Amino acid sequence: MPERAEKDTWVEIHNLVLEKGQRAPQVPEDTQQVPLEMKVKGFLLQAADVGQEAEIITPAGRRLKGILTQVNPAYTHMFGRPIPELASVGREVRAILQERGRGK
Amino acid sequence: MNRDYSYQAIMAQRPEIMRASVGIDYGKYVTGPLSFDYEGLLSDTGYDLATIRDIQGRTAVGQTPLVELENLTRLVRAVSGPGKGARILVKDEAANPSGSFKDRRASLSAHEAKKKGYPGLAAATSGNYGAAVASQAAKAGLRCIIVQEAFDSSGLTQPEIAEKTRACEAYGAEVVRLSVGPELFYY
Repeated sequence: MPERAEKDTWVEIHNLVLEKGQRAPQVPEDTQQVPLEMKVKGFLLQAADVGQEAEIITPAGRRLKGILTQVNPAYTHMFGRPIPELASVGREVRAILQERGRGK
Repeated sequence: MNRDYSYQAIMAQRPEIMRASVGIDYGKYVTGPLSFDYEGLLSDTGYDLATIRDIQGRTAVGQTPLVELENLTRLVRAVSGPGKGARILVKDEAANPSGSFKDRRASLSAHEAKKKGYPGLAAATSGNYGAAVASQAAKAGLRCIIVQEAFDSSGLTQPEIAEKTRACEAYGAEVVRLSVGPELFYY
């Protein structure tokens, strides 16, 4: 059962800007073979189902169409785990400052 | 009449757009092989340093703290040879409203756009300039569109860019995220 979102819901849509073969001339060959894709968020102008075409109004007031991909999309980026090789740096710096940096 | 919206056709308009919008003959300020009359350029555009400081001040941009990095200076001196180890100070540009020195530039563009009666600001950038433009647009009551190069063919994003997306959306800008390529300037 596809997820349905009501009018005025904050959503993300996806569509294509340039087809493969229409890309900027300077892009490498593997990039030439894929289309230029776009994702943008806005408020649904009519109810729509995820995976189907939808129309939104963006925060700048533009009306855009595309395939509805996410409803009230979360921000999922993160900065990963600490780097083990850098874990001792703080301790080393404090030791240098305590033993050699005083009085300068 | 069918308008040519191909990448080549749109990008070919760039020199004409630059000339028509900026209207500056940069050659006039080149005073030697390595010298440029920057102050002359600023004053001819009506944006001399005093005016800039005043405009930036209205949106809490600039006048950032000068902070001495005492621990780093001591650390450098602790591991350097004799006679080395200048004092290290930093200008804290993260103290600007949207968190970077780009606010300095964006505040002037926003001021100019508002003065000229434009309905909004747009920028093609995946970096700090996007957040700066979105922030200044919000302060000036102007609409904003930021175009980013944001994901690869498997949909992977870089956290730094995703964080800028979040910041721009939080400031009320429309953020258009494109897959990798130079075409963000075309869009």
